[in-house]
Amino acid sequence: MKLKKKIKKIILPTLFLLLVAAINLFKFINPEYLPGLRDLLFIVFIGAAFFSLRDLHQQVSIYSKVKIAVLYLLILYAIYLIFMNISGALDTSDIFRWTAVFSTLYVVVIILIFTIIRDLIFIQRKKATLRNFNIALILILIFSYMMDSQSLNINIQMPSDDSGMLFPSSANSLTIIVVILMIYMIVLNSFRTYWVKYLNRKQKIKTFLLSGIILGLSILIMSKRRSFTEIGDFADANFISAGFIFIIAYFSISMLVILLYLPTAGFLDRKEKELSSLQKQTRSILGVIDLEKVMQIIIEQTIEISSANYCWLIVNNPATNKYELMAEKDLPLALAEKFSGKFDPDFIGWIKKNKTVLMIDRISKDQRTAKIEAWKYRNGSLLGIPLILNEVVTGMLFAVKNIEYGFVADDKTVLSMFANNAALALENARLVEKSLEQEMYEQELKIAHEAQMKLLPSKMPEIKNLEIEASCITANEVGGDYYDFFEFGKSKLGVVIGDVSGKGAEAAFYMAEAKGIIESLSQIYLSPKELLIEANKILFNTLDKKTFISALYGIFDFNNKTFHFCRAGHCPLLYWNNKKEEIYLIEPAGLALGLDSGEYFKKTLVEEQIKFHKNDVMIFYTDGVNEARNVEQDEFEENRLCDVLIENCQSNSTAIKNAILEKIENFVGDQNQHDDLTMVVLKPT
Amino acid sequence: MESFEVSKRVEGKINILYIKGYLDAHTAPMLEDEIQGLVDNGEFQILVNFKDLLYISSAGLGVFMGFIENIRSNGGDIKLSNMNSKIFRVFDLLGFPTLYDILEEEQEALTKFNS
Repeated sequence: MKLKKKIKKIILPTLFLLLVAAINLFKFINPEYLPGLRDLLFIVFIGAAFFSLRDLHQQVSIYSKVKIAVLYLLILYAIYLIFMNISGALDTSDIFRWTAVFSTLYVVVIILIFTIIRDLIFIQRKKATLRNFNIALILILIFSYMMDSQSLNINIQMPSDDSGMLFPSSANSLTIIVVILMIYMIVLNSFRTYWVKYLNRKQKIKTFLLSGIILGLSILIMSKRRSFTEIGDFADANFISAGFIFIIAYFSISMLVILLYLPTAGFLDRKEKELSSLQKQTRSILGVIDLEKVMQIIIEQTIEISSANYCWLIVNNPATNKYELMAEKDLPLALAEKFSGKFDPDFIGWIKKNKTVLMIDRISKDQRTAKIEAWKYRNGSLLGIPLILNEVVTGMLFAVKNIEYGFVADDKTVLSMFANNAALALENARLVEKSLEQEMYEQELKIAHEAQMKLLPSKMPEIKNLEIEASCITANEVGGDYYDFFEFGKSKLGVVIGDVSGKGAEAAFYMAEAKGIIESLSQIYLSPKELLIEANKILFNTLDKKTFISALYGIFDFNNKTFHFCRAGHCPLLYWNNKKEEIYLIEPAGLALGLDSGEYFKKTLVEEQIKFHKNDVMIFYTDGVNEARNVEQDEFEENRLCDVLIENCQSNSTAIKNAILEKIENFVGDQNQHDDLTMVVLKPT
Repeated sequence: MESFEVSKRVEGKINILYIKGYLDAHTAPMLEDEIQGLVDNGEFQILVNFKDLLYISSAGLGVFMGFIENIRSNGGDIKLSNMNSKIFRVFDLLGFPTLYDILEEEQEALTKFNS
């Protein structure tokens, strides 16, 4: 692979150039030997050498290419001077040989200059460019060959005349056609000078001078050239002549073109600077993540780019699908006010529909804008640019000038380019803001969760002869379950468990409220029934219509060893009677809190009393326990709960609680917990 | 997510809603919208048939509570019928049977409306 490249880049060109030189030199050793074939080979190898060398200067900048061309010509001129110096001291046959050496060098240099001209011609190349150049080159080679063979037929040592050698007297019509075609193609190629516009003003001036040097040197060398064409009109001499014609033609036209471009060069440079600084700026907004800031930068840059009098940005609100004013600069108040209402003017609709830039030269005359009275000066012009992302017009940028025809096509192009970046920057900032909001929301939920957990007793009350254990696992960050204890001296303990209907934040707030209410009432009403009746009255009025709270409230009296309790629509009390060794789900009648204003609640509520014994177990739980679901959507149900309790009835309260939780966990498996799961385990000892 | 569907049948002045699937915090708004639509049209005789309902959460129960006061003050009622035992158990636990007519069969409820 590397070798191949080397062959292509170095070995082949060298080989061809050597062949060109060899043939050329051979000519002077034996000029009569097969002149036709020799010249044919000569021009073929010139062509081959050129072809293999054609990319030699490809990597070099345009300006440097011209500089290199000058350098080559200077070398050529130096060669010429050397030749002139030594030629005086030589006799005719020596001149003959030296001429061959020098003309070979000329040919090589011209080939090199051709590669540069080719590069220049190929800038902004089109389909026909390569073809036209190749035709010109081939014509030059044909010309070199034809002129030579003909002149050879007449006289090897053709006497020179002052008209040069382009049109020998014997020239036939075919030769004339070739010459005309060649000149035509040379001129045609010479007009390809697009490279000029890629130079900045300074480079243009320098290139102009360099082209002048090229022209000067070429003409100088051409005019003195006769000194070795005198010796013979061979293919090399013709090639050199044609080569100079091409060089002179090309660089004269280049000079003219540079001259034409020079007056506007400064302006173009400025424009280019603007563009590149714009690109830098717009790329810099992509790094800004603050949405407000991004919009402000967009506005400021729009004003800067377009020199508009005022400017504003509207962005589509996905929720309402309306465009809302998000940022502005110097926007007349009357116009700004329009955006707070349902303002959907024609010019906005037009951009939305056409997804393209709208340029209105005369606001007062255009039907899309004329109806609006709010423009500061009615004789103004407007430019509206859509911000497009994934084919959707996410926003629009407007700039207004207080003069008619204020915007030019350039503003349109530049601002559209800017708008592309602006749209992207806006979207980036929006996404960042969204994810920040999300994070904040999650953070707040976490705080809410911690706050709610603090509403639950931080530790179990320490009561002689009673083991207490509790657990509350919420399905979401916040939930509606709760439990609480109230100590009344050493002989009595109140226990409550509650479940607010619904889910999430709403349930959590009501839970906090219910906790407060029940806690205060517990100090007033020592009977569970009275307490719940009062709690219901308060909650019925404060709870949302749709919301209710189920609760189980009980009081242990350690003096009498009694436990009396009421059930306000809550799950039954699970009771293990250790004396009888029997399990009960006790479910006295009772409505949930908040369902009824009071009459039915009071009528229905029944207070139950248990005489408890040592090692009995009471479990308060919420429906998260019995309704825990497995993958088949089966519920845990009370029977499983009873089974666990029976199995573990002789363990302490902690072990019982853990056994129940473990059983539920195993039952549920990978299923998501869909409801809060709360229980309180009480065991008299 | 579990699915929920409501369909409606009108029998005389009574609108019968057939609810199907899972009625929970996520799906409750669907039933709420349906009942709200009836109330907005001045339809206050509503029977909810629970035949195909598989699950109800507390938020689902709340839907009925949200409307009952308004509907009763307009001389109407929400009656419930055809609950499976599991669902009836949820209603029963909370004491709903004290406050609502919960009937075994749709026909019974219709008769009760007309009496």
